[in-house]
Amino acid sequence: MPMVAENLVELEVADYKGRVNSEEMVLSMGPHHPSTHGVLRLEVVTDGEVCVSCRPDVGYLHRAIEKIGEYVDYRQFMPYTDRVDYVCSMNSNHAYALGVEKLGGYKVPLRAELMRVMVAELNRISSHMVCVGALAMDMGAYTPFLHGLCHRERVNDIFEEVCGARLTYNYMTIGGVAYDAPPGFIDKCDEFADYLWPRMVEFNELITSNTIFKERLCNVGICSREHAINWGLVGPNLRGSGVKWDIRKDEPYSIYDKLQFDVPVGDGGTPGGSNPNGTLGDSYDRYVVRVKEVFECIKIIKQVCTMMRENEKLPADHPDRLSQAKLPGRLRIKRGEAYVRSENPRGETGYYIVSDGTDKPVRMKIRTGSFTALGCFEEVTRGLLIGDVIAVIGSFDIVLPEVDR
Amino acid sequence: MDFKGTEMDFENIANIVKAGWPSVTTPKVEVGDSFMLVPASDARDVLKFLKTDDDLYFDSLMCLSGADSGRELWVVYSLHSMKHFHKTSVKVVLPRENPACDTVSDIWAMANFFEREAFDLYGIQFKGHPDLRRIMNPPDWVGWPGRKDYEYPTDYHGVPTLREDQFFGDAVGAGISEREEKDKALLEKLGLVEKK
Repeated sequence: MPMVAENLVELEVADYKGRVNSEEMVLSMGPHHPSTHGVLRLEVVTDGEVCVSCRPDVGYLHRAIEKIGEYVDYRQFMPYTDRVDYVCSMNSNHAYALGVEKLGGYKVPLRAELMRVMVAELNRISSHMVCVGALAMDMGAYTPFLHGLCHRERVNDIFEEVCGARLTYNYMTIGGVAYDAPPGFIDKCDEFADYLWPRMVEFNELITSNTIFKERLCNVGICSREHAINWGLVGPNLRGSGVKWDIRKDEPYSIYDKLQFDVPVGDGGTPGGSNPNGTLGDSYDRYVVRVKEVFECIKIIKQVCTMMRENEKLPADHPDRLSQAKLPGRLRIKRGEAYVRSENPRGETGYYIVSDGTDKPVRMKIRTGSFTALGCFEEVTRGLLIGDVIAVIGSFDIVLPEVDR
Repeated sequence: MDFKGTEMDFENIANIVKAGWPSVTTPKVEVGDSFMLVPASDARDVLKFLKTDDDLYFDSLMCLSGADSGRELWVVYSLHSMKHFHKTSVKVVLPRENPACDTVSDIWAMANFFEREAFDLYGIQFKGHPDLRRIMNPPDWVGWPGRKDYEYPTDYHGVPTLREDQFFGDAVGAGISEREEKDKALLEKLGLVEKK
């Protein structure tokens, strides 16, 4: 007997759009779900296809890295910082090195700073490539992901020449970098910057202005300016909400004060902007900020290439040519504490380090951008469709080892 | 409006707070950041004042971390103002037995997850927190793993938690020393080390 219309339940639209007031069901999304970007479990209460509440359940990757930090000395902790956020190990290294250097009062030679900024920006590009590619893949477009990974491979090739590794670099040390630039490094970076700019323009044509992609992301997962600050969102997520705050610009560390670059912010809902049909702080804004940041990174790489060429003209024994400051074999830092932050691809990474005068810290707290992004997840996803929850995960660029540490 | 140039240094911020709460102290530091030491009973009021006062306006909580100094537990609030571009840090010292302080998760929503983390790792009770559950560890985990005197469990639901090359030394407690004795006995049996 064929199915007749009387068997179907009459649906009524109640408190918010799309809500069907059917029986609520708890859906456990993850921890092994390809679109949760790692080992994240979402406890979704669904009503029809509407997400009534979505609580993130984290901790599957908890490795007690903060506790390990209390057992190893300052130099030995560096490889662990790679594992805090493996998509941008160089930036993680940089954040930790800055923390210890501030607490210990160590000076870093110019050459090392140039190398650091160069690899940090290259890594920022490769991290954003994974983010925007994976977001497009979550939205059903497979090609941009391959484009993104193709560019990332080029960065990995450069890094392999610099430090021998392709994922966990362990390149920076306290007081400098582990190795000086290999021969031809500057030319390769220059070449990469020239290569990437037109490819990113192509990428924009391919996906950023794609109508289907825009429709999926505009007005989804809106996080207003005040909420973003209150929820502690950082980095591109905060800038996507229209807050012009970049630690590289507003609290410059390393040599960022000598570099010229813009801080892209979200412009959703502004006529003539990149996202006129959206709302400020939606998923598309967060995406666009990342794409624009890649262009800024290319500008920075170009400038650092010029500065490195200037630097190479100095005699080999000049203090500015050293890749490593001369520090004692065992670092003993005076009693004190500091919270030092730096701008990572996923936003502010802060190290709160407490020293008691010995060679090991008393407390090593790592504050990461993904952890706070998950903190506001329940609020942002309320009332969205389940497919849009995936869009929000992708647009927040969550890396789970960074959440769980 | 441009608020650049309205930032205050730590001395000024501390003096404003001290005028309202005389119990607040600012210990001298050798290196790193200065901080305000606030008693647990006043902490919530002080932090609320820091957030709401127009001249201070710390609208952003950068980091909330629990810590164990070995003697007592700390909760450290690192604050930043997106309006005035100044920073400060507030420290609350809590006893090891029944550490408790008031939640700030309604002042800065971001504190919700961070307080859960401090509760999970250090056992600090945040009074008034809407959802104080373990976040990193499983809900049935016993003890506070972040503390210095935490003894590592040797098994979890019958699954051993220690590896053969466990390097934590004496911090691991009973499990490792037992195995060390076994290893020593084996080495003695094989004649690889001299008997005492």
